[in-house]
Amino acid sequence: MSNDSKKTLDRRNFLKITAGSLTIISSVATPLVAAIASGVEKTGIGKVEGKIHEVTKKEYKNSYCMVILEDRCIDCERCMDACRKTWNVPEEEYRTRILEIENRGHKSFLPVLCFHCDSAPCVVACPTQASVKRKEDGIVLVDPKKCIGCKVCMLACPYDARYYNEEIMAIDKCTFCLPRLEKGLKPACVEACPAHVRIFGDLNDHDSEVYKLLYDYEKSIRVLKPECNTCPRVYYRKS
Amino acid sequence: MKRFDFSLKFNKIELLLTVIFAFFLAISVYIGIKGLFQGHLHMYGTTREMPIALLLGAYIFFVVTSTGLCIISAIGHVFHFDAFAPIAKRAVFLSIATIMGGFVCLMFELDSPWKMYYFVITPNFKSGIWWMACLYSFYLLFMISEFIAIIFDRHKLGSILGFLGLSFGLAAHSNMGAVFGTLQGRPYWHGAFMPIYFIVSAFFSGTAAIIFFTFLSRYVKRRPFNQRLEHSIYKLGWLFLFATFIMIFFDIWSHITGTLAYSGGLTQAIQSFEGPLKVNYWFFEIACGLLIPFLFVLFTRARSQTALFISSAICIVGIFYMRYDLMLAGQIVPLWHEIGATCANYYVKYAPTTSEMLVFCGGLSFVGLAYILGEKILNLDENELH
Repeated sequence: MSNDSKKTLDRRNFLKITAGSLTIISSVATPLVAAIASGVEKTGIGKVEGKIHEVTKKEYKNSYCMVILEDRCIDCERCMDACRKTWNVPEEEYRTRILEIENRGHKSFLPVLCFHCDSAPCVVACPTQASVKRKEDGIVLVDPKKCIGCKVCMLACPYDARYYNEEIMAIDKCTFCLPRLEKGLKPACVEACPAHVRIFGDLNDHDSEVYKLLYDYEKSIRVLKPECNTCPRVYYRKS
Repeated sequence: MKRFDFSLKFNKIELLLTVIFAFFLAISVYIGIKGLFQGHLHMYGTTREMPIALLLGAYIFFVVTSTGLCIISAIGHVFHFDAFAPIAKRAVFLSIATIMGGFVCLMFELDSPWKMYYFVITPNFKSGIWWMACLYSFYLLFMISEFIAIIFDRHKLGSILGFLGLSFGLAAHSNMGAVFGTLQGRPYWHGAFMPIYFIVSAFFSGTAAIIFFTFLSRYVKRRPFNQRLEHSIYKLGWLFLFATFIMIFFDIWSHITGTLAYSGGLTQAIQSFEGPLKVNYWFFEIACGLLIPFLFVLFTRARSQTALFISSAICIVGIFYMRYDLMLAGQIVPLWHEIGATCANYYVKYAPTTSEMLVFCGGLSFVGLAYILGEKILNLDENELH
């Protein structure tokens, strides 16, 4: 009798532990599955090395991207001024800036902006879908009315492309000047640059300058922070 | 013993503490609301380079403690280890109070919290923060339900609810670790270590918090522990020692990897004797948070109640600095530093403003106020669990 009761107890305990473990595992696994699902979209740095065009052409109707001819920048900051004026960016903030790079005594200038990454960590991190990547052209946008100001996108972005704009009470960033593109104009920074550093265009257009620059296999292209696996749509090369 | 006691007989200390906590909570709410209208730019010390700091660190401090208290309560109330049963009710109550204190800080840390209904309207299932909010909501619901079940002596139901609370708590908390762990652009946070660290440190925080608050109830109420509670505290002392040892073990390995591997200036910033976080790290985190409590409890073999109380108190201060430094450390090296930008050749500076400190005090005051009222009204000492 006592053996039987012991057995029953053991079985009950076993069932309890199994059910418990399954509950814990499943509750931990739910976000994990979501994380894996989001990871599926990541195509990796391999895209940059020769395969970018095929992938982007398939995904977007207008495959906008920018090529920065990094050895041409003279740090005149006209791009920054044009951006500020066009989009009323607060004085102490910026949507684009120019970094001064010092390498073994040699100085160079590197314009940076939002890289509209194909695997944008800011879009994945945003809890309310305020940050979205447009399916039609790959541009990453912020919808101010949905932004709760948690700033996790600022932490997620490895390129310092975002800031909190108190006037609109939301995160603000470069939009590749989407409203200007819709009018058939180029981004303000591209137009303002006197040294023709920023080349903007549609990769689907084989006659575009960006297409030719990226298909020119004699010059290597690079992206910044490739280890972050974000697949940026802003590329750097020598002129 | 009565389930509820609304007579609210305060002694002088309790009355004084209640007034102080209520005052700071009111100030915190005022500042928080003012910040929502005026914007945080001029009120908080956060910047573009360091968008989150004291208040998010405080939120993490509270929720880590809450999860830890939930784990500790589950040992007695869910897994039926009798030695921990006497502190289960207090632990469940405090886990609710601490997470609510965290929400006070989080609410005033967000720039536009009134738009939070978009969590429901347009949820992003890929977002770690969305999952964290969802899981913590269920966690809170189950913990409150468990507490109600304990009050009404429905212990079987309470155990089930406690188990669900624990499951959601662990999921939510490891998920919060993953929110930081998945940030590829932030080397200090990035990696699978973060969710594990969060759970282990929750256990550590929980033991320190329950020891502290159990002693506090004795000092405030001037009522000695009964034999069961005394035994429970003794066992908790050893559990605390074990948790502290694990944390020291983690820290030693973090040091070794930080020293041997290239860390992009992070090790120099945080763990060296010259970096900007040297005082926070060496004095508060290592000395107050780990070494002093560990040695104090070890040499007294967890038998000295004074040693346990003091150890847990200074350990909680150290734990707060662990959370605070965790926030600063992830952002202290500017994002463009690694590519050699001259404008990023420095450590990002941050000093909390008075407004931020007062909002944090509001979070602490909420916990304090809830605790005093809980002890008075809900009889957290009630010990008829089984």
